Amino acid sequence: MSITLYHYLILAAILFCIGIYGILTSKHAVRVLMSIEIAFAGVSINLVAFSNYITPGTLAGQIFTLFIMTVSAAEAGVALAIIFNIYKNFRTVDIDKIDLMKR
Amino acid sequence: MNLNFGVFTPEIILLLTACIVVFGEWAFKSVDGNNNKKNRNIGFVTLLGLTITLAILISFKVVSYGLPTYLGNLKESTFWGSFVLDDLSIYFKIIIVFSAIMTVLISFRYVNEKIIHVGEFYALLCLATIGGMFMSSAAEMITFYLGIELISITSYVLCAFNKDNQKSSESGLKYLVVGSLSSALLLYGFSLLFGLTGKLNFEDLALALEKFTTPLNTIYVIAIMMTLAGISYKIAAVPFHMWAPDVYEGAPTPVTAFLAITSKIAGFAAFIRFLEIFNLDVSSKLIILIAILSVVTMTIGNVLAIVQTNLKRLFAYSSIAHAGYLMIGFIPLLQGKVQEVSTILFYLTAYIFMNIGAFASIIYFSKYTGSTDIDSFSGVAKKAPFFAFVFSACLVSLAGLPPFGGFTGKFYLFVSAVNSGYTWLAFVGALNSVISLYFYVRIIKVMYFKDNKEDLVLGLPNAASLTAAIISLVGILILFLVPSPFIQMAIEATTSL
Repeated sequence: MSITLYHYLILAAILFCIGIYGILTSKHAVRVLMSIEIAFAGVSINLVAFSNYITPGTLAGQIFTLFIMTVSAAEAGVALAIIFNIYKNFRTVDIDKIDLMKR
Repeated sequence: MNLNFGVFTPEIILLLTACIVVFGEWAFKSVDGNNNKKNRNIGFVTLLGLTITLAILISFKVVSYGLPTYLGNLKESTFWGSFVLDDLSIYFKIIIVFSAIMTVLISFRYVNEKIIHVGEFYALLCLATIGGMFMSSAAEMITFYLGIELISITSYVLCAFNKDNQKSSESGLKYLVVGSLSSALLLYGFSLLFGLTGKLNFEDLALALEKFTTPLNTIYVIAIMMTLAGISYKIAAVPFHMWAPDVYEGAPTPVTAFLAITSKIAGFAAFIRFLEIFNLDVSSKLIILIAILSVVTMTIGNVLAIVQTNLKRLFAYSSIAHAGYLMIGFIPLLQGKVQEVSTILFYLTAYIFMNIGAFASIIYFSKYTGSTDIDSFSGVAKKAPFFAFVFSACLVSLAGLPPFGGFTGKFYLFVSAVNSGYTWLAFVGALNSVISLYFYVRIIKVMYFKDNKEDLVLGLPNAASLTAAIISLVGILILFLVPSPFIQMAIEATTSL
């Protein structure tokens, strides 16, 4: 059995769905962060696979993936700083307990 | 090969300003620990940088009309078509930078008193503005994504800027989670569009998408939905509006103003760019979706605003409702009548003035009342009649009543809806304006007709916020009294679409 585009797409879709599910249901802030990264990984696989099979010879998808990796690293840095600050202020990183403004 | 760095001049100037301001944090530091002068100098440098940027943008416009070859239709694209400088993007950049200048003006004293690292605050504000400028001239998916992320990531930090304040940190975290979720959705949609066509450039993408007609490919539908979801979080349209009230309430008030104004304008710029890629067949389907979302957005925004007791929260719902009104302008765009996009541009211009006036007053009053609850503002009109008047004028304008610019803007939006054959949409919009009148007038009532219990002492306003208030008052009056030059400018901006 050879690996076709569809195998990559299904893998990417599964990863993306795991990521979205994780963002929506996780209680721990760091787990949310990890889920975000998983969702981005799904997108990256999608782009690289499409670039390889649909437009062979150009590297547009790969370049896009490099940008996504860079930006998500920056985002993770900011996110960890904010979560650290949350821990300093709230003494917890449980998402459910951080809701001063719900009404 | 086309590497024209000239079109980046405004962005480069603003980037340099951001760098200078960060280093100014040390350069202007005084030895005796009194940082007032340092903070003021940093603020002035930021204002100077933003003003130079605005001047360059305006000169682009003037120069493009001066040259006979352009005939008022400037379209300069660079870096292999990834970044485009046309009349629309110049208009958007001008209003984005202008709103950033006004935000700096109204935040001058607040930042001086409440924010420790002033240089970093202003630098992040400049960077976020650059992100908005990139969004308005992105002609390609990567640039588009980078613009959105640049304005988003800096906004997360700005929201959490009051480090010791629990609400501020919470708003930063909430914005971060929602923002990342939306950018993941946006990227997945982009990756599917890339897979369908093999193109990243919007122009090539539009050509490649011509052949997709109804019944639509399921993958294509998923791609459209995900991408629209990713962008509509930026303008806080239903169903991606949940983050707005919490984030707006927790963030420092100048940042709330920035999110409500500059960030929203950038979101609309991106939305207009993106909606251009669909062919008429797909657009006719999208119109129904946009019309429904517009009605739901304005209704939810206005109805939920009625029960709010906190002003910043109320303004979050008000900005959601305004996103709903503005989405009416997408309908003619999708029908191919690009000139009608000028209604969005004009309303956004009025939107800057009325929100700046309102936020200038909120920042000024809440400094002395110590809270942003509506009830804490009771009786302030007797102590500070000018700011109360500006606030009231802006509220009346937001509700869409004459004699202010908000009325003119709404009038043009609704007229364009009627001309596009969506009279019911204009009707619902007018009905919503009536609902919004209720909660806007309630604030005016509290300010003028309620006695304050304790002895509230209001100090003198500072020059910067006074300037901003005067500019906004004059702005909304001018937009009502002589709207035609501004409408003409907005129409000229749409010629490049």
